[in-house]
Amino acid sequence: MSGRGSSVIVDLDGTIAELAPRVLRYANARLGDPALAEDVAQESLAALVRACRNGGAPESAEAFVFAIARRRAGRAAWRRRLWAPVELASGARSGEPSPEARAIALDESARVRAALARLSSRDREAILVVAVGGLAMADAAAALGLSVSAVKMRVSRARARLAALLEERHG
Amino acid sequence: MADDPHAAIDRRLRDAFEPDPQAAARVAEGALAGETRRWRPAWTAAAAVALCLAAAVAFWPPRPSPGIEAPGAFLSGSFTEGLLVVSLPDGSTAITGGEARKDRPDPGYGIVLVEGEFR
Repeated sequence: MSGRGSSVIVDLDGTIAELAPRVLRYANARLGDPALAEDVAQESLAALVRACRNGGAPESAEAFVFAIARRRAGRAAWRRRLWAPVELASGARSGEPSPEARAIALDESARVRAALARLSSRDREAILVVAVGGLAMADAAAALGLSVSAVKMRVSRARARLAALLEERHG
Repeated sequence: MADDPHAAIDRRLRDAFEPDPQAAARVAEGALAGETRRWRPAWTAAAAVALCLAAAVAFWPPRPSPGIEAPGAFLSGSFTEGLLVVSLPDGSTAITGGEARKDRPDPGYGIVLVEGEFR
């Protein structure tokens, strides 16, 4: 894991720069929409910046940001589902990748997304936060509101199932 | 980490969703600047929905069903011996009832609500 673990933030710029690709990667995996993922990642990191500047720095920046990203990604997914037909009709979803970029990314990321979609939502969330977001188990537990042992169990189950699903799709 | 049997699956997940470095830098910059990301699609969608509703109201006014029209006539009738006798606009007379019911008014004249199909 590349997580920093629980620590009080001393270098806000450095923390944000380090967290940005991770939270963006997590949001990408959750939403499959780069533009929406950027929105979610930036809002989550901006919340951390606000908290720190207001003197309320969280004990774990990672757990704080990922807990917010998780909620916002969930809301964004619902909103997208509700508005998708209207947005398509109005041409509002112009921030999507070009057909070429999508074609290149489609193969592997689509395969992985399809496999992730077959996991239970609880297992999927746990593996996304830990493996994609790079959170340490303790931070993942804080972000998901679970015990460390519960997160470990879910991640382990998700990894095994995912490996089998990806293998099955390869075969 | 290299000995972790799950490292391969984790790496595969990370690689599948690796973000564009420029996008990450943009996100970090925006967050530090305190910028709120656009939620334009939602506003655009809301505007489109409002437009659709306005169009629906403008172009689909409620109209009466072609098969059902008000008779355009004042029906009058009377109760006699438990029978409702109504003169219809076409000159005929409709007689209905026959069973004694407590909720019927006494024989004579009054206002009667008639429910049914007018032909």
